[in-house]
Amino acid sequence: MRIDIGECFSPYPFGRYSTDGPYNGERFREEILKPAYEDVKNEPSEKLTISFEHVKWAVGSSFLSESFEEFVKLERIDPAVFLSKLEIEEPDSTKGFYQNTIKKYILDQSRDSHAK
Amino acid sequence: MSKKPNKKIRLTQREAYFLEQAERDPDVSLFCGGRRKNRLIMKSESNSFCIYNHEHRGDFLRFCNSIAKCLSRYDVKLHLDFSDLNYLSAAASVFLFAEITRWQLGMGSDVINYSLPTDKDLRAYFRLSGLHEAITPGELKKLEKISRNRSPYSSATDFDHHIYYTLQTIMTKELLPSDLEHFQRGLQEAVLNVKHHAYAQQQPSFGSRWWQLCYHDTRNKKIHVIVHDRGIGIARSLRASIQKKNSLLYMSQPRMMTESEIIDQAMKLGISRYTSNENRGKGSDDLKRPVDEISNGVTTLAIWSGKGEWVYRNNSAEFSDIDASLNGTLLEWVYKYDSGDTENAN
Repeated sequence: MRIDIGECFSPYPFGRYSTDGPYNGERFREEILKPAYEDVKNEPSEKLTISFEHVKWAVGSSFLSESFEEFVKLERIDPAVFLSKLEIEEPDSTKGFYQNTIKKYILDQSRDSHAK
Repeated sequence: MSKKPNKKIRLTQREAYFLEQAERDPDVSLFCGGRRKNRLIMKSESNSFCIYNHEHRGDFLRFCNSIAKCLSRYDVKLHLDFSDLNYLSAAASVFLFAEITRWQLGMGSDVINYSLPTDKDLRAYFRLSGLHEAITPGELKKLEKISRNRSPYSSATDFDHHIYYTLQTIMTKELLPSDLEHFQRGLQEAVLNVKHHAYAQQQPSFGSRWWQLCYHDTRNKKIHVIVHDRGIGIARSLRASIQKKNSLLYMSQPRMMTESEIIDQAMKLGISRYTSNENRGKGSDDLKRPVDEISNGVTTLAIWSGKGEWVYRNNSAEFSDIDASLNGTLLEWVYKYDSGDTENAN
């Protein structure tokens, strides 16, 4: 399954919550990411591809953290399992930023939850 | 021969009373330069408005404080006389923009007017940079208009469309696409910090507002990106979170951390005041990224908040407490490109 954030959500994703703007991380998590993951989680050969190809401005840490890190935390998903399902597509100009940042946040979440 | 009286302006008894009271106020009188019609003239002793420089910063902030004191204590109108001004730093211009417009929003469009500097270059800067339009008498509609017009100076409480315009302003300038992304993220997170942390409560007259400048100084080959709020400051906002996260440090150093130390900790550890949520506070990386990642040129990030000053360059932070306290927080990136390569990059 492939989700192009710029096309199916907004070219201008921004912020954490609805108070930050209409296309925030919380909304993306609940309306897009969560149902998409539900569809692929039990399909061994199926991957969830998130594409940043068509976003028109750089997506900030708050959006990424609220979407991906918080998803793993709230849904109590094993970070390794989630990462094994997740594929990130991004333009060359971002130099792997989204891939690296999302992975880092998910692994940070894993460390934080073990530390508690 | 006595001077001919101005017959056009007749002060009411009330106006006359408050003008007199304001002139006698020791906090105001230092900067009071007489009256102009029914307004009190305020004039700084210094001809440089600057936040970077220790010497000028105190004078400038005292001048701004006296404006605030005068307007909050007395029901008078002010005329700011900038005629002798010959230097205005980018950061000081945003602080001044915020100081003037917050009173215009709270007390009415024409509560403050001003005269332009006589210095030719600075006068041109006021007109060409959008500062003149930004601080001219007006209220919310004026601020909305300058944002719509993509003025380098703008102010808002909601960002979606606003931040888009601002970023567009930068996009057309000197940055490479990959470098631009770092500034986009930094600016977004700075604005989110205002929304999430800066104000303990909504301000009746201006809400959770920020003021910003995205200015390309072609003469000095610099791009200034500034975000300023009039909130409670980083130290007041984050002291409790820092103490909680740094409890061991506190046990070994049983003293109050200074404001600049708190800023430094917040920027190092990515601390949010929402201590119950570990996922908050990641924005500090986005703030530092333009300094860390942009190799074509030199970027500096400076933050002033309350009495704290924090400057980040070359992957290293310097911080100290300053004498004069700055209301709220002002964050500034200065991107300096000094080779012809960057200019031709686009």
